[in-house]
Amino acid sequence: MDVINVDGLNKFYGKGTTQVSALRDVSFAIKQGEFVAVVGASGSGKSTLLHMLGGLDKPSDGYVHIDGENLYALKEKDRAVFRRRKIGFIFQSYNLIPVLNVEENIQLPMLLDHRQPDKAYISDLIHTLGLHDRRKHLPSELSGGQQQRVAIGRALAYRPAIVLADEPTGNLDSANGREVIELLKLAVNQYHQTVIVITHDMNVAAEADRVLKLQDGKLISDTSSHGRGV
Amino acid sequence: MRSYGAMAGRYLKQQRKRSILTIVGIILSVALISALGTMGQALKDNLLMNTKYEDGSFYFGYEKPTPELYETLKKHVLVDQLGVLRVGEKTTPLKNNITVQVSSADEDGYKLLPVHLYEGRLPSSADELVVEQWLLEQLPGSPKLNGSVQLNNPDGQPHNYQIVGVLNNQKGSQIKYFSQAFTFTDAPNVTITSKAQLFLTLKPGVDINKQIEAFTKLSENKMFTNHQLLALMGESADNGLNQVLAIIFGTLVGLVVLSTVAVIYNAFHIAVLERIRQFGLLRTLGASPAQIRNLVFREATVLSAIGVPLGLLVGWFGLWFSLWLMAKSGLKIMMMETFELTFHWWIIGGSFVIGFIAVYLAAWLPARKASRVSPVEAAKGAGSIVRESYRRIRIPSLLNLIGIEGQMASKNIRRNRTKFRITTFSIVISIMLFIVFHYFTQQALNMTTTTNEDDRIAFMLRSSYSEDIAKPQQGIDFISDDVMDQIAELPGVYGVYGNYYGLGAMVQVPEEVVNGHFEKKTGILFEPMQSDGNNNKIIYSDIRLYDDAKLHEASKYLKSGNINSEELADNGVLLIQTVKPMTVDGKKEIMPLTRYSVGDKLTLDMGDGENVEQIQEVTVTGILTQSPFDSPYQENTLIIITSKPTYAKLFEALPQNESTNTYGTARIGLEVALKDGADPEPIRLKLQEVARNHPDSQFIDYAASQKENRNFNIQMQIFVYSFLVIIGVIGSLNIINTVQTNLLLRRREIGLLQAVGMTMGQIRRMASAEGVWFGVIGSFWGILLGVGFSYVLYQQLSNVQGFPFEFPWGASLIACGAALFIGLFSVQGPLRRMEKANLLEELREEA
Amino acid sequence: MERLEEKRLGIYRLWRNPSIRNLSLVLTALLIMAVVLIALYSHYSTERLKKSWMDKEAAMIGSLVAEQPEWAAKWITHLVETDKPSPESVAEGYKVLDQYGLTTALESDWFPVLGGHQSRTFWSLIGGAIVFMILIALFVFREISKQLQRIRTLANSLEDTVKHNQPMSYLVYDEGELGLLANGAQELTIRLRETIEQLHRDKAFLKDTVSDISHQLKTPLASLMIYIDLLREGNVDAGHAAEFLATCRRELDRMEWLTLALLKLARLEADALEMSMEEIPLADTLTRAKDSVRRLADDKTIDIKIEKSASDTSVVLPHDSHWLAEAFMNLLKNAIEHSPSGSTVAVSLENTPVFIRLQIKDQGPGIAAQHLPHIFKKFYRSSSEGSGVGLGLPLAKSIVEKHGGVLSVLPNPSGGTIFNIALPHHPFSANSTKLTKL
Repeated sequence: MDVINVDGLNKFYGKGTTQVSALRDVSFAIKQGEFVAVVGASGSGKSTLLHMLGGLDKPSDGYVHIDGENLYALKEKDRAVFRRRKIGFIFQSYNLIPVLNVEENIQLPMLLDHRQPDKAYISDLIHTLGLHDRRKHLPSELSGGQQQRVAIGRALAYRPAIVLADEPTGNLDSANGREVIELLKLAVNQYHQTVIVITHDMNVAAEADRVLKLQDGKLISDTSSHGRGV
Repeated sequence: MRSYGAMAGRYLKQQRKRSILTIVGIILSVALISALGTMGQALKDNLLMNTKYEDGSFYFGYEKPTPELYETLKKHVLVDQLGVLRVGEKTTPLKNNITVQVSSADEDGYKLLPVHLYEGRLPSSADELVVEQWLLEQLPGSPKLNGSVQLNNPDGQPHNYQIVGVLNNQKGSQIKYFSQAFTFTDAPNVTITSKAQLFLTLKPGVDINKQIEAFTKLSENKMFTNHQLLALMGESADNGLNQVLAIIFGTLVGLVVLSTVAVIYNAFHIAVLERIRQFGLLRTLGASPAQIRNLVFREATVLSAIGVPLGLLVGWFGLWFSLWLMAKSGLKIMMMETFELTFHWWIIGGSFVIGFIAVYLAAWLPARKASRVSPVEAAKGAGSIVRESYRRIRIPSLLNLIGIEGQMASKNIRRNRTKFRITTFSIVISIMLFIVFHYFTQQALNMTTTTNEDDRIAFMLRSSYSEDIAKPQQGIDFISDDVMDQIAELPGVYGVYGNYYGLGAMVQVPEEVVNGHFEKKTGILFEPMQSDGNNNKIIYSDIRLYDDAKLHEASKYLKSGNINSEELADNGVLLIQTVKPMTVDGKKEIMPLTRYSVGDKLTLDMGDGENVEQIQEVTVTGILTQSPFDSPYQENTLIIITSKPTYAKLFEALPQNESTNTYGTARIGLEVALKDGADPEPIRLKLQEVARNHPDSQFIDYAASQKENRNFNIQMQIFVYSFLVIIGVIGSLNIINTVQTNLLLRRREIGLLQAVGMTMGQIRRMASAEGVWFGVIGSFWGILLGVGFSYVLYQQLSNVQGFPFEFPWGASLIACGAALFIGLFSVQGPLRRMEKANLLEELREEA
Repeated sequence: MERLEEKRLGIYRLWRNPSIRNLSLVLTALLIMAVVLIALYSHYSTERLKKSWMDKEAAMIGSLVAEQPEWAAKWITHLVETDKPSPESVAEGYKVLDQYGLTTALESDWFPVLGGHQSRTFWSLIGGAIVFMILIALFVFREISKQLQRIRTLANSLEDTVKHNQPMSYLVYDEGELGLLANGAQELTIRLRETIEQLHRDKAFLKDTVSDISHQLKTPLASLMIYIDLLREGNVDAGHAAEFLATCRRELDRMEWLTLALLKLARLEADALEMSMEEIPLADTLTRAKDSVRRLADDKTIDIKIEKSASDTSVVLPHDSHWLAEAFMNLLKNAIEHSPSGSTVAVSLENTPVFIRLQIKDQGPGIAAQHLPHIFKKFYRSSSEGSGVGLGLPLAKSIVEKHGGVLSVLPNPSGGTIFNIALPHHPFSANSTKLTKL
């Protein structure tokens, strides 16, 4: 079943002669439980695509359907609620809230939804992420790899259907990078979540179920269309 | 953590320094607002009390009432207290030409009239009497309290009275040799004659203003109102004074609120700018804009929940404490006797509400800004430098002159328009606030407490010049210098001054020296005359002889020139040419009468202008702002002060005739000034002794009223100066906060500069140049706006009393200097911290 | 994962509901309106009462003045006296009034002034109360019906989903209880859909397995049949017969292995197998696997080098030793098969905060990029080399995933293939990963 459906997506910045197209007529569908890598040179529109999928930025044209919901037909506030329940974000620069400790950072999406987190589940998650003895630490007291694991925990906390990761291994050494990718794969395997990763790292792309390649805002290749099943 | 809202508290805790600064800002502002309210109220209460004390507490009064009117008023449903005063018909002459008038009042009459007991009690029967204290000695038989005396009763018949009470001495009555004594009439037995007067108050809650017309109609004869009292109560037909007070205090509170808003807005704005990415991140996590806004407002709530109540406490106890301190440090407890910190709920509640509103108002724009952060911000890099617009074509800045550091500084300042505007805005507000407050407080001080050395004078001793006593011999002092010195050495004596006979002279003032403005405004035209082909005008002058003690005090009022006894002996004089006349539109206004300057010659005509010998010429060696003694300003005469030799010369030139006095330069009396808080009793005893030794002398004692007067003035000054200090602190805090955060926000950028090879010294110079430049720009606009606002206030103030607008140079200079100083020194702290920190670490941290 | 922990709705939660907010807003507005109106009315009504009462008093005083002027004056002073009248005088007064039949029991209607006031007050208050009640009722009804309408839409949408197999079309993204309900309903339908899909997958898997087995068994069965036919016909000499029988034996072995492997895989993937987790050193399991492939390795003179890190017995992980050994064995077998004779297969172990990571590295030709996404598929063979049938790797992957881990291939720039087994110290709890049991 398709969890994400992108149809004729266009995004322009600027106007007139200075207009720049970040995305041109991008269409694809992603199934539940897929691990998808998006690759392309910098400036090819990868990040813009991710923003569109996460409902962060409005497309100039086209649709993004997630779980059958037209993302950009929602009101701003509804989209925010949608985001907190359905989408988890992971960034290159971790982006943790500096004043909250590990546990609180992980619980944040639920707290934003005015709900009390399930203690047992959160504690389990923290155990799995190997952060148990650091759960009361502030982000500034953690290494990069640990911070990124907290970010993954935050993205998984609400068990969103979709996890969007923007260069999650970009700031990490290869060992920590591996760990992040393995954790994301674990999320796919165990929770049947859909993970979309933007990456430069071909090793990461190699582990994906599917690789989308963007060039100048166009989707130029999609490994799902060939080589599948022999 | 139960809710996402806890983040607000965490953030405040983490940014403890900024939070504390913000809270201190709120505390000071709320303290100032509540203190301003209290001060305004105290001023009004004080004026009200003063008025009641001096004019009585009645609302309306009737002269020549009819018995019918009295009956009507007695039954009138709105009348609360109704008093009757029967003014005595004939006065009783006593020794020394003193006359006493015995009037009678009923119980309510005593309540409504300004009759103030010194000791004893008020009379309660027609056989009892209260008199002024000084009169006791003058009455036949010099009775004491509870003694008896025979005086003419209100009907003119002699009557034996028992003295049951003693009233406070009045200065006026001692000088005029006329005093009033009061006896009692029972209200039911009162007979209303045309000599009686009726006084009344209305029941509380009655709209007095609306009733004036109805009560006027009750009597054919004129009804009078206690105008001053009603004006202060806001009940007179002309509500000018209250309106002016409201406008002035409204403006001041408005300015304080504006500055609070500026401080807090600044803090919040910077806090939000710092966290743009965090807010973006929260948005990607699914926070709605309303939730982000709530976060900021929550911070505001926490800050104001701490700051506002503390501010109220600080405001209250600050006032209390400064008074206590004053009392401790030598001003004695007398401060507390007359001053009460009146606790008004409306001030506390109002300050509370205003404080919260100000904080929310300040947080509103930053909250909106935070809520509008696009979630894409979180995904983007932190490179805020890239997004800033920078206009290339501009006038080269003065800073470019200081080399590369200056150039960097000017570029930094221009790079970010909004940040620049916020920073300068808060500096401008601080400077403006200081100037306006400084101006206002100074003027308020001048208005409410026109003070000179007369204020300190508590006792007078003078030779009584009644006709039956022989005129003293010329040149013989009434009191010897020895006695003067003895008195001067008593503890608590501030000064002992001799009194001398004054002369009058016509000054021939060249037309161009006369202030033409004066004639236009007052409608007074001076008599023109021709002399040596010059067009002169004749202005009257008082010539006064000052002894050394007086001249010493006079130096405080020196505007230009100097006071030098040799110059004064050699035809030199001190001139006071500032006057306070009534203008054609009925206001008192302070203005110069002539435009003499130091070194000018004054042509004095000691006679009638016909005799050339009587023309004397003196030189102005000094100009005083106001008269050090007697009333500070004349209406339309000049005051010429000089020492004995010159005075003697002028005295010689007087035309000799019958009416010429024979005192010459002899001392005819003395005045004793007290130190603040001194005990007057030993001095009083000493002077009484001196008076007994000089049978022809008269001792005048108004220490009690002097003390009250003086207290009021000191209170005003305490208020004024503590306000200025608080305003200064608020302003400085604001500037420090702004300049420091402005710098701390750019830590990364400074790290970069260091990475490309700028030395810490260069960075220090750059940052200092920026700080100073902010001070310069802020001062420029601050002074401009400050003077503007001062002018607005001036216009309000001059509705009450006219005076010329003076550019607030002093305040401007202080503010400007302080801004530059703070701008320069507030950047040093953060710089030192940056110097200590590992910059590479910081570069990484922010990535 | 969140929970709707509290059964009771706190004020804080209640406030999240838009309908509660709307209602409180409306009620506050109405309250303010009521206060204002009551203030206005009480003022107006007092003024009216004062007017008529003063008219009455004035008329009385007017007639009194004509007869007894001083009484009139007394009367007037009493009129506005704020002090309480003394009880004696009140009692005295009532005594007089009583004589004329004026008692407090007398209906107000008999006092013209009060009568008017009473009826006016009565009707105004009744009218006001009714209007306010109607307004409040109107707003409450409107709010309730709005809520009900939303619930109805949600119900319709659910019905469509259940009966017509459409995706859930009505979603509510508010923070109130209805939003949570809608969210829950949507999650339920998604779970349901996933379960149905799982069922479909299981069915397809069964079909595939059956066809795989039949396909894989068809050829050896056919050849077995031919051999057996040949043998039965007796046209073969003894030497050939022995060779045929050996071939048959080999084919049967192969078939046994195949069926067993397929059955294992089927049981694993159909969740019909529970792992018996034990806290034992991973090194033991690894040795077990190594022992079972030793013969194969020795045949190709390949050295299986277990690095020091991997033989550390202090690394303990809860796992099913039997099955994990099976997975390791398959991976080792695969490595041996793709390695040139005389080369080394290295096994290393890395212990990170999250995972225990085992890497099996061979010096073979490696796997071409186009094969990478498919090598864990059943019967997929990237090359004709080796004896495998393409079941070992899928089996290993299934087992590793059963342990909550990840099996992946790492490209190795220096040649060869690296299989990477990442086993988490604390796997995600089994409960939360399972599909809803319906």
